[in-house]
Amino acid sequence: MTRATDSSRPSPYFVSLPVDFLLIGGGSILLFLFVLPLFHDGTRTARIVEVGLWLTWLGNWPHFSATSYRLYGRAEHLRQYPITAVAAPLIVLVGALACFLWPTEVSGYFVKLFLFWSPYHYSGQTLGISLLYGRRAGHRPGSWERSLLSAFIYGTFLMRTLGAEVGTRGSVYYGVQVPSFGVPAWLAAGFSAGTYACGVALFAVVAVRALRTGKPPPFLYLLLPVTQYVWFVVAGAKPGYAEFVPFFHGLQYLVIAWAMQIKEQADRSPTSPTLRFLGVESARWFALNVLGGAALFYALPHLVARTGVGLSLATAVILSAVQIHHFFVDGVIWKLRTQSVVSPLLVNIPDLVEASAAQGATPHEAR
Amino acid sequence: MTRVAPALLLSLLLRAAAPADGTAELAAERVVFHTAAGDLVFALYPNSAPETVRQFLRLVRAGVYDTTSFARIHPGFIAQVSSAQDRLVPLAVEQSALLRKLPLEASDRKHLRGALSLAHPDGDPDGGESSFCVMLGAAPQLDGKYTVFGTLMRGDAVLEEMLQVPRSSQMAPSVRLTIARAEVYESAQALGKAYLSPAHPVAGLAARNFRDGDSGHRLDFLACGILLMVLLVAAIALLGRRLSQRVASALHRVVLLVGVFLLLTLLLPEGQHRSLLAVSLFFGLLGVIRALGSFEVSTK
Repeated sequence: MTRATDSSRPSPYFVSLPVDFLLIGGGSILLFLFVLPLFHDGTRTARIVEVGLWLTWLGNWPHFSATSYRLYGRAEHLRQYPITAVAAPLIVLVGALACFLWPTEVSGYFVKLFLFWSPYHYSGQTLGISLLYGRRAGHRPGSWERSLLSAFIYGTFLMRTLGAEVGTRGSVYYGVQVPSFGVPAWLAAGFSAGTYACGVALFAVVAVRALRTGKPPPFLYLLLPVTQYVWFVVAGAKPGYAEFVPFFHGLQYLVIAWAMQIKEQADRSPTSPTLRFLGVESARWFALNVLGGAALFYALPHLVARTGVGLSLATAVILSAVQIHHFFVDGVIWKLRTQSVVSPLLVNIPDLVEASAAQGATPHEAR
Repeated sequence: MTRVAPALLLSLLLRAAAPADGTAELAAERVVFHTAAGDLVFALYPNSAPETVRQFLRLVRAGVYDTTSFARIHPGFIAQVSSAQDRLVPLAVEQSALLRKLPLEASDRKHLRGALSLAHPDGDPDGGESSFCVMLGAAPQLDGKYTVFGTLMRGDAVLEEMLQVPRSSQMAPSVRLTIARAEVYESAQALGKAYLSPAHPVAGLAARNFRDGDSGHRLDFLACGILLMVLLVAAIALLGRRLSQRVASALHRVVLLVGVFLLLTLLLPEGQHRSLLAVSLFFGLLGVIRALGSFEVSTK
């Protein structure tokens, strides 16, 4: 396990290199590039949908719940973000009601807004976590490097989204017809070329810097853009693989939110964190989020459907509404420019527990 | 006798190998209609109605049936798919160019429950185009007068859900039963691996009286959206200095999002046929989402 020896500098990892690697994106790369191709051709089969759904219960739905838990779990957040916590959900609710009142005229566009925003939101998370790993490893990208990193990550979003928006056939989401923009094919091809160019330039800039300083770039910092590319371009081209991407996005998020939760709870606790505390708090937090996810994505649509709205429309609209609200919230509560956000995100969980063990698990003052 | 016996045996073997249900006469392709009530799977009869089947597959592959609807549900008789011209999203030029009148292909296929029968105007048996019916019961009076070109393979429960929807005196459902998308699977095996949506209740929205092609609802929605924007702007103006700059800025962004959403509902169908408009809408929406990235940001 790699640890920071200098106490003033954070550990490069939330847990350790292998654990972070697997959960942050490496696991998905291994699955999509090396495991799934051995026995599956990428078709969206009934079995794939079933497995994807089970994983959704465990990874994707809880990650939405974790956002709500984080925003609404503390009164100070409600005071700090009144528009995000109160006005934004009301506006989203109005949108959902409009879908039920005018399903033919509105629901397709409401779902469209969610489906458009979703991959953009994935890209924002990828960029943020990549920069976070860079910071943890003491790697401060220059303006060129940062711009290229951002351009490559958002470029993969544009490659995928523009590709799906060519033509007028659109898509179907729980029985709701979602229109496409009908952008010209050359635009998607142009952005693909630009994204590859940015990717090559990014790795060139990083390589030149490594040669100059004699220090290799942080591995996980570069893993994130590669992960995003694999999700959007490799898995995105195969509907059967793409079914699992939301799970890995949720997993990535849950790692970060879990570390933040443990750090903040440890800071609030009158005693130093122990392994037992870590286990109990992790299990409590995860169980709450699984239940919250099931409430938001399973119980709520079924409840709304009982009011007389068809289940497929209720599912499409509620899932879209919860996720649109999640995009609002995530953009606000995870800003790395905010000191109160970034400080706990530099935690290393084993260090946190071991440090307290070394102190003899005595009461300590809140840090 | 000794020469006849092997031939007889071969004939009996061949008969035994041929499926008794007539599936040997089905086309390899399967067509899936994804509707809000669930998925319907159709198989086609290329031997009985070769031209109709060819044209039907061509239209499905070109997306002509996307956003059409079941416009008429007559219990015990038919569930009729609307004409492609009556679909929600206007046809593209290249899609319209595919439409043509089809001659009647009369055969010994009967109008039994599940049969697909090409609709045509009264008195014009060679005027069938895209509208067709799924038979909900036997109708021998139609045999030989309409082209039977396929059969429902899966989706009885979906039709039952559609039957729950209240109807007008003209048998038009009070809820729009949109066919969100239609697609062709090249074989039954390919379809067997695909995920198919089960039947869902759709009758719940019947309390409201939706009718196809009624633009009044779109205007109602737009009016409500504009009213919401006005109320938000008025609230910002009334609260004035009591709002911090951060909160006021966040509210302005919400107004912007509502406005762009309204524009999207208004212009996207048109943008599908005008590249410049489509590109402008795409990047306009992207710009708004980017602006929302710095929504209610705190630096503390």
